[in-house]
Amino acid sequence: MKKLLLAVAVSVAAGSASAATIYEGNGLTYKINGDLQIQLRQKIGDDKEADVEFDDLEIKNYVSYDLGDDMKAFGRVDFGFKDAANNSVDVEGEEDVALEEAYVGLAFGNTSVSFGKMNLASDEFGIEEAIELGQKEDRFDASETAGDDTIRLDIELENAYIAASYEMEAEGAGSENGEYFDLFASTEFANLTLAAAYQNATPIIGADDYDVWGVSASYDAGFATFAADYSDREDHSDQYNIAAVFKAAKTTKIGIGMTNVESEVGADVTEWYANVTYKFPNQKNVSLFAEIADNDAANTDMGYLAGMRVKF
Amino acid sequence: MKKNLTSFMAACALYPTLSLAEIKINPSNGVDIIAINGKPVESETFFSGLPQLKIANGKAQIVAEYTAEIVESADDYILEKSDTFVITFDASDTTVTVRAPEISSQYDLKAFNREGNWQLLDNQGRSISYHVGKLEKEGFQLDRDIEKELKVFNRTNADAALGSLTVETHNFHNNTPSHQPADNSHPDQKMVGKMLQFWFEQANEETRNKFKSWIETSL
Repeated sequence: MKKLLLAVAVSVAAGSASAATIYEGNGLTYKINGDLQIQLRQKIGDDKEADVEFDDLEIKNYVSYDLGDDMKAFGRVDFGFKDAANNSVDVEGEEDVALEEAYVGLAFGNTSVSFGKMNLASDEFGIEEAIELGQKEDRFDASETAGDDTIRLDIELENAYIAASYEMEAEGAGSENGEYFDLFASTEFANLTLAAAYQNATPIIGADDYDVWGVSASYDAGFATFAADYSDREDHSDQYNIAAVFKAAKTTKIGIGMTNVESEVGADVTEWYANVTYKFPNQKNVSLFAEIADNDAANTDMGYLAGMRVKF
Repeated sequence: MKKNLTSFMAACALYPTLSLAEIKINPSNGVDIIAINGKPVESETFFSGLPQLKIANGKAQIVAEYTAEIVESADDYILEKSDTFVITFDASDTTVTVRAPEISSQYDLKAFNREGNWQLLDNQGRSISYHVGKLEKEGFQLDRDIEKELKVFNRTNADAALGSLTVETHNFHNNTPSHQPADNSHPDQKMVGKMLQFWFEQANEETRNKFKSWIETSL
């Protein structure tokens, strides 16, 4: 009975794959995407206990209007429920259901301009392949990669991608916080992808600004991809990542990688991880994964996790 | 004895043609075959894997969609479906692999939706030429009736339209014939044979195949 229920539940989830586009007519398109990732995890550290962790519980709404002449107006609202699931006790002043992204914009061919609450351009940076990383993924993530008063430009070309964003400090407004200017560019030729990113950040109004920059390269050798990145925050810290992903079978990939953070203000840490991801042959929507990870800090035990992800 | 021998010979003659005279469709990862020759493919349960996708030799028409993983940030992606494509091709006694090009950005997906550059390969890796068209539905997408949409599509002059699929065919059945000949009637066997041959030659591929399998199962 249990097995049957599971089968029904999974086939319903899998069947909704085709439900992403809800409406399409008279130039209007409405799509819903969802992302659910739930895992059993014991974090790296001293005497950590395992728990069921909700990584992603997201519903994304996307609306676009065709304005003719290859012009489109679009809007997106993403809701995230993971905090509602992870926190058993309500935290005062914290909303359980978070608005993850909310923006509107205009697209002209392959160029789009959008504004609202969204990720900064430097969020595109990074090659790490961990499912969960104890450290921040790169120095941009350690700085800031999301904004709520953001204007962003995206240009997609055949072999290149460019993004620029500006997060206003919004002094005096409810969304008052830092000011960030971000750039990201990547290009692809043969089987090589190269990318670079830059951020100028002023985390608090009136504080000194600092620069973060990074470069990355990844090479697709067919049987595997190999990648590395390096990012640096001036007078503060730098970090590198090395990662490789092997295709063990049509449905299975194995990822291994390490990251090293060297800090002028704290301890140096090296962390490594190895994971395996299985996707059902007939469904890209469902994947199962497992990972082990450890670092070289004193008094830490190895961390592990196993879980499932459903996307539609 | 004579009857046994005839049926044995008929079976011998029919078996190789029935087992060989078909095309197998092999969708690559991410490719969804929604309909074959005007009929929707029954969606199998999650655990039973791929349905058996087979078509009789000759002109064939499939409806396919591709689910692409579009990179959204450094460590996330969303799943996006391509438009719904109608692909018509000619093949026999082979396995046709249906593939889409590599798509990882909205740019790639837009180009694919515009060009419909699918790849159809036979079991020796040679590409098969095809015609491609699109099925489009205005309005809510949850209640699409692919069979109906295909009927309309196949009546148009589109390159990928296959008019023969809109022709209704007879369903042979195995129960007792409705017109039982009187015991004493002796129809002219020469005429019967001539007519059988005549009508068989008039029949289209689908009717012929239905007829063959009817003979196979009712002998």
